[in-house]
Amino acid sequence: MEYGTLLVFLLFSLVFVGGGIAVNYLIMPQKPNDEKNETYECGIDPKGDAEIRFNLKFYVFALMYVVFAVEAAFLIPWAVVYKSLSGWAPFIEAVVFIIILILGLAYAWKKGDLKWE
Amino acid sequence: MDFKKLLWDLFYDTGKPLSQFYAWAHNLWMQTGLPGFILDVFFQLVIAVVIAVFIALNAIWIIYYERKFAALLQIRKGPNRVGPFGLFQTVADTVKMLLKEDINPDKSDILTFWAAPFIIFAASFGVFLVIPFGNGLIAGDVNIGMLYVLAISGLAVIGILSAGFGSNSKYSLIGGLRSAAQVISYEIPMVLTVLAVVMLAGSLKMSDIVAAQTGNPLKWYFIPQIVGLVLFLIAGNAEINRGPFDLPEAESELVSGFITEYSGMKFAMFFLAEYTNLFLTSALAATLFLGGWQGPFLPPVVWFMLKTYFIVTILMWARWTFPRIRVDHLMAFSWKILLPIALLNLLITAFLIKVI
Repeated sequence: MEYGTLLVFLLFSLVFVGGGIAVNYLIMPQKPNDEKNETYECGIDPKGDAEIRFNLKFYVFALMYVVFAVEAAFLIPWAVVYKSLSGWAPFIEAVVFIIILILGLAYAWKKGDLKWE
Repeated sequence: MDFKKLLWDLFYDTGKPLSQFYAWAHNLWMQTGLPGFILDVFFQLVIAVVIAVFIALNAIWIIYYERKFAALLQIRKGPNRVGPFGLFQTVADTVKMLLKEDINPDKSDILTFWAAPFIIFAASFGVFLVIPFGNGLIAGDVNIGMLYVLAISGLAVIGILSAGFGSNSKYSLIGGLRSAAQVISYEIPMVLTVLAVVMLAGSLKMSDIVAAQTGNPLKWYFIPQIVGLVLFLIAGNAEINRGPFDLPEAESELVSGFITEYSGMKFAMFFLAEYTNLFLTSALAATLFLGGWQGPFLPPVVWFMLKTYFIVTILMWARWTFPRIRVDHLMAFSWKILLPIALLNLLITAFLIKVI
């Protein structure tokens, strides 16, 4: 039932955006010309393509994100049941798990991967 | 039927009359012999329409509120021409955007350029499924509530990248990449902060998280999780690309980032999604840390809105007070300061749960 609502929600949001744009297309003026359809570059003629090379740092941060997102995914079930578990074993296990990841973060930090430039 | 009691129930215990009405309608429908799912889909559509209307009205109000608030902080008047106190300014702006020509640049990639507003709006619309507006007033109380919020709002990154690449403009590309890097960097501390709250409540379900904070305001999670609240607000503010973290749309260097090439209604959709995300972040903060819809005397919906707008005001205050931070500081701030604090916060919370 709830997931059916989710499906209806996602489809409806597509219809909402599509409907808005459709209404816009019905009443807007349509006078395209070459100057107007140019890529915006502060009014002067655009130079070259936008398919440029960009900073390699983006990939490094994406990799770091994947590592920590998977860590969070492993921690979610632990966090949900944590309160109902007795004894110190779940706590110590999580500490060991997080310390290993902190070592990884410290390594990336030391290597200078967390610096932007 | 007692009319007064019904009214009371509608305001204070909204879930009960709604489920009674659903059961009544379901019975009536079953007598016709048609399959039951048609009625369910009809009700789900009604809920979706109600929420869409709410989003539109709320965005109109929140944009007006932000402009007035900025004017207050900068000692000027703000919008005051259209309607009483300028209240209809946003309506006029919306009509203007509806009348504007929708420009598709020749160099843009049709598919990704068009997909971006759809994905970004769907990502923020989907989150409304699990926002508990009041007692039982929740569209679909999914049992993985918080995880679902993180998953669905993560989809926005795809929309941002799609807009950045699809526009085929240098400003859009750099803005989109920066924005994606920023959103994924701040998602980690945000997830870890949310986990500390989940640990205290022992459930991912939104109604359970609210129910765990029942009683006096001392039970609200901002007391054990005051560090978590601050972390959540900083990370949430960065997630929705608002100042002081609005580098992706820094006007002085990137025009307006990944939305540079958009115009007309497509631009309006990005704008709508941005302000909806502001509301959503505040609503989540109110639900996780300020006890959700709970409070004395006033109806739950009013309490929920008051708390949400309290957080909205704090975020706006931050936006119009702090200068924009530098891009290298931005990434370092997330990975070197917020992430260790969030991990420590998680471990300390786990420790305290065992001790107390």
